[in-house]
Amino acid sequence: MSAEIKAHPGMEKPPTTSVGVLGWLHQNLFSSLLNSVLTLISAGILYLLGRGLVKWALTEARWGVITSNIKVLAWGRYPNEEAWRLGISLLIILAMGLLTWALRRGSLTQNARRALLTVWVLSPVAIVILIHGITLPTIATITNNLGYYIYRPELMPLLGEAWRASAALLVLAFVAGLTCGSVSKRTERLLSLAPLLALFLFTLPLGLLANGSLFGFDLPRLLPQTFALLVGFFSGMTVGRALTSIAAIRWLRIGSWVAVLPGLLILLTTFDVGVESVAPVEVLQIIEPNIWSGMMLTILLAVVSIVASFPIGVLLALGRRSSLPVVKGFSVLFIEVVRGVPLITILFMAQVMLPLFLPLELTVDRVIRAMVGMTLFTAAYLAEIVRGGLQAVRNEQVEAARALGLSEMLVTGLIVLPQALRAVIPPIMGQFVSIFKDTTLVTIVGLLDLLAVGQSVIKQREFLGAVREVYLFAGVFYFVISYAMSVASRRLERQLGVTEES
Amino acid sequence: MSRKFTLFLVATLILVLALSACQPAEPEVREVKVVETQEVRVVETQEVQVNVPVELQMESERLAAIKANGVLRCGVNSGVPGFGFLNEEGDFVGFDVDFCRALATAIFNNPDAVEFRPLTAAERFTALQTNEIDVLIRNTTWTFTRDVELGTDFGPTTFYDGQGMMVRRDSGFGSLNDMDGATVCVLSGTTTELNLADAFASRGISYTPLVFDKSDETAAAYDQGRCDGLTSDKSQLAGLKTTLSDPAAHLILPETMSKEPLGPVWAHGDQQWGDMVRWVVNGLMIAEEKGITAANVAEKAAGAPEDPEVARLLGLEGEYGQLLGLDPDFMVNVISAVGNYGEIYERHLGPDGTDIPREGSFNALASDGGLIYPQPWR
Repeated sequence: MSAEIKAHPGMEKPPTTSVGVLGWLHQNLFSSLLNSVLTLISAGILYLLGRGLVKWALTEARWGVITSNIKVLAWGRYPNEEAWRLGISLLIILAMGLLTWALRRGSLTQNARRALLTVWVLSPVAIVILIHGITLPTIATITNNLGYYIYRPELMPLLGEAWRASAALLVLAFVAGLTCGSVSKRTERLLSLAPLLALFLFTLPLGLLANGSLFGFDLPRLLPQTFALLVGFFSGMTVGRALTSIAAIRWLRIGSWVAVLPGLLILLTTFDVGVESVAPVEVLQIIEPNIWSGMMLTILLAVVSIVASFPIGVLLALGRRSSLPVVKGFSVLFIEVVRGVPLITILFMAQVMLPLFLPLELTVDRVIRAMVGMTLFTAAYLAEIVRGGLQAVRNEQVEAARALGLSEMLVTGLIVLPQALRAVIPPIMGQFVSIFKDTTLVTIVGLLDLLAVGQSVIKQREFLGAVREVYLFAGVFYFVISYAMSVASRRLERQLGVTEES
Repeated sequence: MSRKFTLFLVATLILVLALSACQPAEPEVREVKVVETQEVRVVETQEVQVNVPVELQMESERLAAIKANGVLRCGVNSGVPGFGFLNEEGDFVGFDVDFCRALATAIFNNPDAVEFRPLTAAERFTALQTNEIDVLIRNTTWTFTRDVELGTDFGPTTFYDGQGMMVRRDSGFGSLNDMDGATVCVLSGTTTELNLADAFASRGISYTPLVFDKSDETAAAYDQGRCDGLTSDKSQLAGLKTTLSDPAAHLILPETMSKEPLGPVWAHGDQQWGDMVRWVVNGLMIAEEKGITAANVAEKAAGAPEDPEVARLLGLEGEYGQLLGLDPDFMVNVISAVGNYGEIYERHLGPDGTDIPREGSFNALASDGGLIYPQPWR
């Protein structure tokens, strides 16, 4: 065994229990007469304290309040028939956690790391789509929405949305131009025009249908489109030419094509002309945030505020050390103001005050408001923690990095931040555990998190007064997750520490 | 390079021209088309213009917005036994919740076309003022400041609540006057505490308050015998009573120490919307007076009711529904979906629900000596 440990320095040490249960008992509880007496006395006290609880839990407690309401506690008002989407989302979160847990940074190839990073970036998007639902345009929607301004004069009253067609055309033409300008082969250049051509071929039949013939088109109505097309294409081509020499141009091209598709979908999906046959299709039923509730809301609030606050916090910490007065001033102001206000006040402001300032037409969902409030609050605290870590990185490190000719950005990204963040993992995780538990505060502003749902189901006639059961259940839930988070944090510390030493 | 560049330019232009070319070739045809289009639109506009004033008289802007939205947004309580809470399916149920469903049925003929917004006491009026909800039905007491200062209007009272006192049967207390020197468990910082002081002072008797922060703690202290009486709103006392270790050993004294008329609330500025809420609630009360229930409403609506008011209520005579911007038979839909006022009460607050006795209370029909006295439907 010890040979193996030497061979793999990153491997865990064998657990102490492997010495055997009896050995462990002897070593830890009954190693001397005094210790044996102390052990017995402690056991007696524990028994006296725990007896009542165990007896209550086994005989008196009405656990029916949990078992019959388990679905409500888990996802509250989320439709039962759509709950599988939450299950898949949870699986994605767990899989990502396990994957990151199992894989060590050092053991990965460059490509595997890139793949892992991509999956990490994509999984939140997938989860949001799964939980919230999505409407997608059909081919008919896209064709119609792009062709509509050009071909459907009878829909003129809806022209308020026609800018979307121009915008979509501009974006598409820009990417086509970019490709066209940066590739060298003639066939490739022609190929880059294919999407534009396809678009017009798709929209053409619609125009024919709407006008009865090809000759009914109105030139003035075509002008914005023509303009968008030309401006997009030639600006794209100029940019493409200028960037031809850059090594990453291939990735830039691929990336821009990948990015333009969802962009087009967003531009054209929300563009509902009110004609049923070309309306976007609800692929996954949209479930508005205001009915998210129960454990899922608790977990979502925590995950969103943790994931979103981390980059904001790091930026604020860097901003606070910046030499630019405006950046520094803003960071200091934000951090100090937010830290000077209790979380519950921020939540109340978001729920009660914010709507008074916003125009009546603009309503931000209450759950989203709570998420933003909690994210900003966590970010301010994280910023101070990260700043502490930044101060712990010795100045020689920065000087050495500069001496190697690294740019300011690379010094921060490759030398300072990794060391600073590693030093502050325990307080960061402490902050995350704390914000996870603080999600219960949303109960006070009327959101139905696990605690609020628990308080609501004990108002059912058959479970009136089953307060202790529900609170114990919630307590165990919060403990299990908090404990898992702190175990993960210790594991991360160990991993990073070991990698650094070897 | 320039050759290729020209190639692309030409290709693009061809695309554009393919769509726009020959446009002026048949000017006559196009002109005719344009004229036709304009004509059609003019006619439509005229129709709308004719309709608008009529609709403004009949139908509220909010009702139109609700219809366009497809759901009624109703502010409710998520934690009061009998009035509003989540059931095992994750649906809102309760006395207040059923009035939301009644309104949704009146508008959409669908009791589920409601978006329930659970609200806390602190944010409920803001939610109305900021247009987050259309109507608030959440144990809200009708008071001067709320009605006048907060920019809200109150509908007909659906439940007359009031502060009561619960004591042990074996204590021998039959009324508040017997309670001289008693210890009373009470929630801190509420009007309940102030009402208690007033009630005892006006009777010239003394008491010792035992103050708690949470209603569950208050009930637990009373259950452990740390005080002789427990005071709270009667609707709450009934719920708390069932949580005690021996509910049958306690009784609620007949006195009521405060007035707490609870009912639907809406924002100022749309009287037609208020009228609709008011008359749906009134209609439910009339239905109970006339003995129209969820079970027999369809039969009554199909026949020819002898009572003219029943005929008017069920939309068989007059244009009452149209005047509110609703279907003529909207009350038939409402009653068959949620039942009449008495049925709603029985379902949530009756012996099978939270068990708040109705007989002899303010919440009985006026004909039975209570205060439920709907205005005539004519």
